[in-house]
Amino acid sequence: MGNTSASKNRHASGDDTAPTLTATGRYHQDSDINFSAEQELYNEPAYYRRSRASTLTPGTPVSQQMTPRLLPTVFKWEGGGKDVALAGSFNGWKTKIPLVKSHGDFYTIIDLPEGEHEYKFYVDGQWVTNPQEPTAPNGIGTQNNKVLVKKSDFEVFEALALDKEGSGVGGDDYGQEVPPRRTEGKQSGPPFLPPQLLQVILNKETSAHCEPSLLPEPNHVMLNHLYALSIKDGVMVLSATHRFRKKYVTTLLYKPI
Amino acid sequence: MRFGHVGFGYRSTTSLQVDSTNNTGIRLICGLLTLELSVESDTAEHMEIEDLDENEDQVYSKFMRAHKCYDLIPTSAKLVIFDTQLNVKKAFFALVYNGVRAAPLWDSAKQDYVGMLTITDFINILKKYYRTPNARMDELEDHKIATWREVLNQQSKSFVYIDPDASLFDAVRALIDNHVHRLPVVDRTTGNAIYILTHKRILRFLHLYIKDVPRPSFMSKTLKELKIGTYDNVITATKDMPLITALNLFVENRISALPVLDENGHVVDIYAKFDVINLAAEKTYNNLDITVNDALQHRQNDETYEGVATCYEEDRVQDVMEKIVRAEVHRLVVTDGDGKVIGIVSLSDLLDYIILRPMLECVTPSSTCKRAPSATSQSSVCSSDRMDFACQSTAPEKSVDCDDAGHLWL
Repeated sequence: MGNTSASKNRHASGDDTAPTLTATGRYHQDSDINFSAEQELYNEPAYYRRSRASTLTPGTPVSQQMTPRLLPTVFKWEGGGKDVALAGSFNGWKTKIPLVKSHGDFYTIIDLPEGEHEYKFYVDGQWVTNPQEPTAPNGIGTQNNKVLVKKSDFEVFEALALDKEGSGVGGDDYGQEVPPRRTEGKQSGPPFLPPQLLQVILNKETSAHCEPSLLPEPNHVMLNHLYALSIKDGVMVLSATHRFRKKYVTTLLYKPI
Repeated sequence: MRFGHVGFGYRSTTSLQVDSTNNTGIRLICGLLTLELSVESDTAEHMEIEDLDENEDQVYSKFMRAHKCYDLIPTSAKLVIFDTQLNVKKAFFALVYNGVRAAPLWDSAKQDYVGMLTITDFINILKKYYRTPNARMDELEDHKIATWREVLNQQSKSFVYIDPDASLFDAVRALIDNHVHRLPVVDRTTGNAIYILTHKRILRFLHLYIKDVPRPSFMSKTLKELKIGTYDNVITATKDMPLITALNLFVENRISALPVLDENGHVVDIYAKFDVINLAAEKTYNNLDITVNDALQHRQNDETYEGVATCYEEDRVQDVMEKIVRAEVHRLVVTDGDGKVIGIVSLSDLLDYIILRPMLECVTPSSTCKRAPSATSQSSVCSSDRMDFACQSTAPEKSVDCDDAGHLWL
C-alpha cells in the first residue's frame, strides 16, 4: 500500500525523486532551505522513516540538495515475535517505530545523522536487545543496542571493497579454477523451487467414480515442466503436462535406466 | 509414490541425474514442448439440417463425420507411455497402478511410436508361457517389451493411430476395421500421442448429443429385427472352468468377454479381458489353474459392481444404447426371458450398425463399396493422403453426399 501510493505520487508530481528525501520535504513546504533549518531538523524530529515515503502529498516540492548527512540505516530483528518495534536516542525514545515483517524477519530503514545512536527493540511488549549487535549500558541497569553511522559506509566502492575483504574469496586474479562452492550461508545453492511447482496434478486424489485417466485441470504455470517419480526398481517415470489447443495432456513416460 | 518437480537449476526434494547418453525420454518430452496454436473450429456448425433430412438413416454417420477426434479428448487427462526397453511385467504393473488399460510404446532407437501394449498382450503372454501352477514364468519376469514384440512378430500389426483432426467417423472405421479397442490419437505435426480413443467414449459422445439430432427410425427397431450382435456360437464359460482355459478362449476366438453360466445355463457373471489385469494387481498370475469363479472374487469387494448387464433380443436399439452407456460396459449379454444366454451385443456391433452401415449401404450399387479389407483400410488411415483429406475437411463442408463416401472407400 505504501509503495503503490508512493509511486502514484511520484507519477503525479512528475519527478522521480528518491523517496529517501520525501519525509524531509514534509517539513519544508517551501524549497527555501538554509542551514539553520537543517539544524532545527536535527533537534526536533531527529529521525525520518524511509519506508513510509507515501506520506508525500502530490505536488510537494522536493529538494535534492538538503540533508546531506542523513544516512539510511537498516534495522533488522531476527528473533521472531509478532509485533516488533524499536525506539532509540534518535527519536528521544518517544515513539515506537514499527518494523515490517519480511520472510520471517523484521526490518525498517531510518534515516539517521552520522554518529553513534542507541536503540532497543520492543518485541511483543518486551524491551529487548539484539545480542548479535553491539550493546551499551543505558544507565537504568539494562543494556541498549548501539549503532555507529558513518558516512564512509555509504561510499559504494569502499563498501564493496570492504565486503570483498571480509568474504575472503576471490582475490585479484581470474583463472580457470572453479572456486570451491560454499555449502552454508544464504548464497549457496540454486534458488528454492517456486511453490506453484509443488502442486503436482498427478499427486492429487481423484474421486473413485471418475475415469482414472482424468486429471484435474492444470494451472498454466505447471505446463511444460518436467516431473519425475523417484527411481524405483530400475524404472524412471518422467512426466510433463502440455497443452494441445484447448486440451491438456499429462504424459507419463516409463523408461528403464 | 509421489511425483516431484525436476528442478534443473532449482533446489528440490527430488534429486535426479540424467545420463546424457540415455536421455531419449527427455527428448521425447521436450519435443512436446513445441505446441502450435490452431484455430478452433466449431464443428457442431458443420452440420446443417438439410443434410440430415436427406437420409435420416445417416444422421449419426453425419454427426460423427462433423465432429473431430479432438472434440472427444477430455480437458485434462493423463497418457501413459512405455519405452520398449521396459520390462514387460513392470509395464503391466504400471498399467494397474495408473488405472489405464493400454499404453502407446515408444521406441527410443526409432524415435517413434511402434505399437500399443494392452491387456491382450498380458493374456497372450500368460497363455504362451504358463506351464504349471506356481512355476515362475521366466518370460514374463525377464522379457522386455521389445523382446515380446519380436515373439509376437508374425501376428503383430503396424501401429494404428488417428489424427486429432480426423472425423469421429474415421475413428469408428479405424477401430472396427482393424479390430482394435484402443486407438491412439497422434498429432501429426509434433508426432505426440495425445489421447487413446475407445468405442465407449465415442458412443458416449454420441449419446450426449443424441437428443439434439433427429432420431433415425432404426433406433425404434429391435435387435432381433436388425440382427445386431452375435447370436451363433456364443462362447461361454462355467464357474468352475480353469482360468487358463478361459484365457485360451479369449485368444483363440478373438473375443473380449465370456458370459459365466451356472449349472442350469443361466448367466450369473461375466469374465472379461479387463478382469485379467486383476491378476497383475494381485500378483496372482502364477496360478492360472484357479477357477473363473475364484478369479472373479475380487469383484465381491467392489461396491460399484452391479452384476452382469443384460438385455433382450426384443429390446429396441435406443434402449440397448441407453443401457450400454449407463452401465459403462463394452457389451451386453442378450438373454431370453429365462436368463439363458442367446447372444452378445457389443459397442462395436452398435457402432458398426448405426454409424458405418448407413454410409456403406448408401453406395452399395458400386462394387467398390464393399467393406475394405482390413489391410487396405489401415493404410488409408495412416497414409498421408488420408490425413490431408481429414485436415481439409475442417473447412466447412458443403454437404456430405454419397460421392464423398465413395471417395473415402476407394
